[in-house]
Amino acid sequence: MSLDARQQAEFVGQITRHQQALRGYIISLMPGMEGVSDVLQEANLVLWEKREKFKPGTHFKAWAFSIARYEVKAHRRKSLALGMATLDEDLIEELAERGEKTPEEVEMRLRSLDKCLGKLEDKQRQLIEHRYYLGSTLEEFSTECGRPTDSLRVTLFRIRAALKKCINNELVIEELDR
Amino acid sequence: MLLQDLFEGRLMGDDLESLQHELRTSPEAKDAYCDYAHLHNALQLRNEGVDSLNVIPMELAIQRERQRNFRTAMLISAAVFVIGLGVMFMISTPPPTLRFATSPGTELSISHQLTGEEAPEGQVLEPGSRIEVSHGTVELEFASGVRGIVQAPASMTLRREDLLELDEGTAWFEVPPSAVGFKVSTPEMVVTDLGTEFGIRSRPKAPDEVHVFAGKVEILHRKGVKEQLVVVTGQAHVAGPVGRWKETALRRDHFLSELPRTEPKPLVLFEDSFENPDVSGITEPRIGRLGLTNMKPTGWTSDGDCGLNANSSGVLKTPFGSQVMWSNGGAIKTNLLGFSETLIGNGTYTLSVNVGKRSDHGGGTCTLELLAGGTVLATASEAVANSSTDFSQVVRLVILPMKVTVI
Repeated sequence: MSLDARQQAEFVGQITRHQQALRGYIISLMPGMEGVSDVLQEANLVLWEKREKFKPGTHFKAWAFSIARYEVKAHRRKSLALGMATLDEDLIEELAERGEKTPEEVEMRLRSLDKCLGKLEDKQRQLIEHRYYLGSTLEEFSTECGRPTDSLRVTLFRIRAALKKCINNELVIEELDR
Repeated sequence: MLLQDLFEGRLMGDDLESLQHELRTSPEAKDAYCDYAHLHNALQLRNEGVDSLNVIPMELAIQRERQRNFRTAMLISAAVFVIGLGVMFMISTPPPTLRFATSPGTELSISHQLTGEEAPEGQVLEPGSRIEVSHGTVELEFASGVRGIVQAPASMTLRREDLLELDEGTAWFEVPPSAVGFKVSTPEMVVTDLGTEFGIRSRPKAPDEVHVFAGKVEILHRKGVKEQLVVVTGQAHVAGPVGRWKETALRRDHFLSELPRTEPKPLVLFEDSFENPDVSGITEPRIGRLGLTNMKPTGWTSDGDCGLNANSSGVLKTPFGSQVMWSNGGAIKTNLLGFSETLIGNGTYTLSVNVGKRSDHGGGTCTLELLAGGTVLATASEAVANSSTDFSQVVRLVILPMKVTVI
């Protein structure tokens, strides 16, 4: 049975609303692997192709995440065949399930991250920007800034630890505001 | 670090096995993995290149296109609205989120999140502004009507009009009914005002405290079991271990509710002008000359000849009190025991002594030392010229102000 215009609009809204959470779930299923965006796109396509099987009013997140998990499995098989080493599949699935977040929780974390990024020193922010915003490797940044890669690796670890602590503090405050 | 390497795609061999074992057996490691994955995702989502438009199928892209057309129309409307706002802005500039004033002698530094033309000017804070007060007192006046007095050492960041992040400091707040819900967060607690007057102490080496002088506040412990409590007039609580609260004595005297008009006088921890014992009228037989006695002032010892002389003898006259301590060259010492209980972390302290020299003796050098046990912490040394016997020329030896961290 095809979806009417209102149902289609609702379905599109659900996909859009879950993008960030879905992406987080996929990342936790494939740590260190390339192609997170590709898998997300594949999952979105499958969701759209199967839109008529989705029953409005049922749990969209669980349905979307199960499709994403299947897509990650397919991607993982290809990566392992190319010699990629990573955690065992059962362990990764347990961890991803443990860390599942709703779109609202992901949104709260993003707001907290924005505040915490504002607290970083300029040099720290520069390193984060290179790693995440410009997508450059530590080796590339090492050449650019003249600092050894190992030193940058330790600094990045400390920045992430500080951001994690800061986000958890901000989440406490945000919870109180709700 | 292993998690970082895993998410960077660098983890292999024994390290990978080791992390795998840890993740299978430790719930904390599992939580750390989840936290790391969320942070990784959040940081990538903040990457401008991650645009959900790129990952939605074509039919959705078409749908988005329709939305974009709608958004363009909305932007045009918004632009008109913004122009309207601009006109209104010229007529009426909104007040800053927070104005502050300082007491005389206050030393502070400010940094703003907003930069360039948007950066606040003057004694003004906007969300994201951070202020560090090393000395003195600051009065905060929020646009919401909340008033606060914060004493140094203090550092804080204005997060929102209704949320102040106090990393360190002693602060008093008065919140009008219109601003109920005002929050102060410290490293250990979040205090939410429920219509009140309250004080907060947050120090690096001591648990955070909240004192309620009127009305009530809600306090949330940020650690352990995160106990939440409503504290009412006359009550004070201190952040205890495992995330619980402990009641403590209410101390209004720890807080100021007005900005001091004058610079506070330095707190004198130790002062001795050698008035005890009283040697006026005594001529010591052993030394027996010039009215100098060999009686030592209370609490002082010496390596050589030393003693006290009273102004009344007419030999040496000190401008500080009525007696002077003299020495023929040996070190004179006293023990400043008990100071550690008085010292305040990050406080600045000065040690000084006034030294004169008799006109009938040659010049020399005087040295002042501050010791902890046998270790010399600081020293000052200066040549002392001959002066007249009335000590009209006094050399003041000063050990430069020292920052003290109480451990």
